[in-house]
Amino acid sequence: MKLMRLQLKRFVNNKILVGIILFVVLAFLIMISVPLINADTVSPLVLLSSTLKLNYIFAVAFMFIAYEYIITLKTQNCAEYFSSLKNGLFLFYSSSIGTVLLILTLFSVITSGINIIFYACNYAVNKEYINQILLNIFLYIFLTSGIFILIGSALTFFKKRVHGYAGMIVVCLFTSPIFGILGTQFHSNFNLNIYPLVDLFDFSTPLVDWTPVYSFGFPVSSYQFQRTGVFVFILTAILLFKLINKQKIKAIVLSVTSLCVSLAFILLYFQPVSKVNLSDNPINGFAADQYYYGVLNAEQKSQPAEFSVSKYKLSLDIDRKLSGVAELYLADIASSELIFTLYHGYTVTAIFDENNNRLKYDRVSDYITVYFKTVPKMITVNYCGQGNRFYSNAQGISLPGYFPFYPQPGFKNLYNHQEMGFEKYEQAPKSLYEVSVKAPKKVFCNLPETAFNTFSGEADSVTLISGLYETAQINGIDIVYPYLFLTENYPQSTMFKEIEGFINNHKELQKIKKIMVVANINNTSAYERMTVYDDYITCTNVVGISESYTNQLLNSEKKFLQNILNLYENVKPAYSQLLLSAKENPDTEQNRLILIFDKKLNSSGDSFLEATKKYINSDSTKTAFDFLSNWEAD
Amino acid sequence: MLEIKNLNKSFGGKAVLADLNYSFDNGIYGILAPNGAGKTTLLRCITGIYKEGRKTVFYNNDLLVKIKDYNKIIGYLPQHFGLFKNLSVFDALTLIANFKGLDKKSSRDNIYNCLEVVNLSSEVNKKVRALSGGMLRRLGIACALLGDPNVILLDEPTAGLDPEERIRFKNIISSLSKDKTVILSTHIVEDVEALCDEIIIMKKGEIITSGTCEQIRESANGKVFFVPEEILKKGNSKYYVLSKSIMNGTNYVRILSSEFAKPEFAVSPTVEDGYMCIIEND
Repeated sequence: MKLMRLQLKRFVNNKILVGIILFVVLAFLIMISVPLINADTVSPLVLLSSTLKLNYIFAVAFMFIAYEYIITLKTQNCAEYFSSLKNGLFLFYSSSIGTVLLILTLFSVITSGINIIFYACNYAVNKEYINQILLNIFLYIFLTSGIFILIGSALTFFKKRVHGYAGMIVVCLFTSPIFGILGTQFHSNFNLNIYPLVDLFDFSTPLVDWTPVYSFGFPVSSYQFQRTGVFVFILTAILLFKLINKQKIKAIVLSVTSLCVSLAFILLYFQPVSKVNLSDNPINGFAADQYYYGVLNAEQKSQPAEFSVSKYKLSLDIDRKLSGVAELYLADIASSELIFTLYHGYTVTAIFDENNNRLKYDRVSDYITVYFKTVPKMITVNYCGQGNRFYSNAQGISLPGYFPFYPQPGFKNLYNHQEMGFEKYEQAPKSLYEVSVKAPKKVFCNLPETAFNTFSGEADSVTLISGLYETAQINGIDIVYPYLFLTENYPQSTMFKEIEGFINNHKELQKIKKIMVVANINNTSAYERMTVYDDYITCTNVVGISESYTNQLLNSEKKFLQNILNLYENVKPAYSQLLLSAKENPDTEQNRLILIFDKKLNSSGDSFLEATKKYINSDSTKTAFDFLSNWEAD
Repeated sequence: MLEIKNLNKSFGGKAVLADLNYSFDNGIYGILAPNGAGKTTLLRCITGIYKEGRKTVFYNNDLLVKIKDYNKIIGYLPQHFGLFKNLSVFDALTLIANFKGLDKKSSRDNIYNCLEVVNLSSEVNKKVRALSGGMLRRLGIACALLGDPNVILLDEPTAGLDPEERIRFKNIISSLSKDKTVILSTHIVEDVEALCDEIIIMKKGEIITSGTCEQIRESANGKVFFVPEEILKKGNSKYYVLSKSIMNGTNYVRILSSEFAKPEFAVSPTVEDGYMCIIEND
């Protein structure tokens, strides 16, 4: 204790180090000042986001602090004396690192405290979110800066200070978000996927540059702790090897043990995981579906199933990713093979019939074809994996019914290029579902809950969500919503009023029993922002729920026409630009539509606009091309 | 008893210490050697800083680095000693006491005793950065003395000190208890002569001789001459110039020679003459 007190005194007496600490505190205060001032309009997640935004800067600052604090051993000619003592260097380094960690702990406690107090003052306290705050700050501020403290300490082993500084610069380059650009460069220029390697060295907090995912928060999953373990144990190995200088065998044994632990962590880290990834990684980032369906041109097809599923029994184990066993009870089989749609992120490991005979199957992108000799009454599909934008991990689940996270009969055209998202959900026939989810958190489902995380009932689909959710009831409708979205300016009562108004204005929705707010990454598609199922709705936000409803009613062609119309009426320059590019490349279907639209507009003016609006809002199943081609002014 | 057995040390293939063997009893030992002869390397090996010393240096027949109370047995003052400048003298010593694993209760008394020995009691609250070079070396000695170790190693302890500080240093070393082993390395013969019970002379990584001051001095008996320069120029015997001086307008040269055949110019040798005789003869 006395040693720590003296080391602390040594720290406090160093003006440069104290200056850097003050800089860190000042930077933190500046970052959080905006959310604190606007406390009534921002969610606690915004404050947490501001707290975590500078975590990389804090980490670099702490690396510099650790380096400068420990290097005094050499610059003040103490190294030889401490080397002469038994465990002198080890004790010096451990107590010095301990001192910097103590200061970091204090900083972490203060940042956690501010976030918790802000949350507690504005919300009914939910223990789950308090845990989130603590875990986030522990991971992104304490552990990340802790790693950099160890790096700074290890860099003091260089004989010359200039080498230590060069080392720090190299570390900064390799761990900065700038390094992430390399992933994109390698992928676009050499078609090499080095994103996993880039991610390993990316110490900045993910998601903080985006609007918070209110039902998820910021990722604090096991893989991130494993990544931390990799670095902590590698650095510990280096430090132990260099510092236990008088007992070499002990040093080697401890260092090798540390390296083995680090290796174990690295193996765990690279296991498949369902991440909430908003990076520009095209393979599993926010634009993963655009890349898969748009750039890679993955096959998409539509074919109805010549059988029905009378009952689904889904057993899902959700931790790092989803591992599922789907038992499908089949009926009315009128073909020699069974066709299903299952999102390509999920790998099928085996398919069995009711007698436990393994069935052959083919898999092409999202489509599975199962072959059989004798007509099965039931098949079991074992599968595992993860969606890219639709996550399922220990921290949260976002698996809406339109997303095939379990085998769904028939081939379905999933992706809508124009919407850059999933296609409009077409209601499936009702089936009986028995769903059990093994997950650490409470899971919410459209089906009635029969036991903890076990659900059963008749429905056209299954939606599973979990995370920072609360439930409420308005006029008999259950609402599952992310409580952190609410602020003083948008309280629960306003949300309830909005939902009530929406339901009352749409008599066709009388069957709706549940509204579930589902988190979605990069939800540009109107069909993802709101989906209407047989007796429930999923939407990505309650704000503007009526508009979302209207938008999802239109088919994609009508939506396209509406967009052209909006541009013409509201943003003329953008319309002119659109027209120009359509003239340059008149062969695409969409451009042909634009050109016909413009031609009719020029010839018929307002009457054409009126007719177009009428067509968009009508129940007409005519294609936009047919409408435009056939429309003639009276 | 501190023993060195078959100690070898080389840097980049060049032998710096070659098969050293020596036993140190209680008393003050002076390692006298020219620069680069391996004095500092030898002390660093004894302290275990260099790994070669970890298997070749024994204390009471046990490997020194394996001894549990190692930090309480060895006190070391390196040639380039420094302490954390932004701590006070007392805090710096408390820090060292902690690293040495000294008992909390006794460390305070121990610190004050050491400071008294090195005559720094009045500077106890001063920042280390405010100490003069001499004071800093004395603080280094205080660090070496902390915990009352049995073996004290002092590497060039008087280098760069002014005459007053050197006298003070000598007084400190003389005041140390006689039941300790004190080894000081230096190339300043005067320091050794004034302090040491035994002198070890090293050259090119080897101990070429050892003995008391008298024995070292005797090795130059009949070989030291104080000769007018003119006479020296006329002869053709081989000699080594120890010093030059002017007396009554005549240039005199103090030489070391085993061939010079004019006994009327012979003078009594000093320890330095003995040391030079050994070094040059070898």
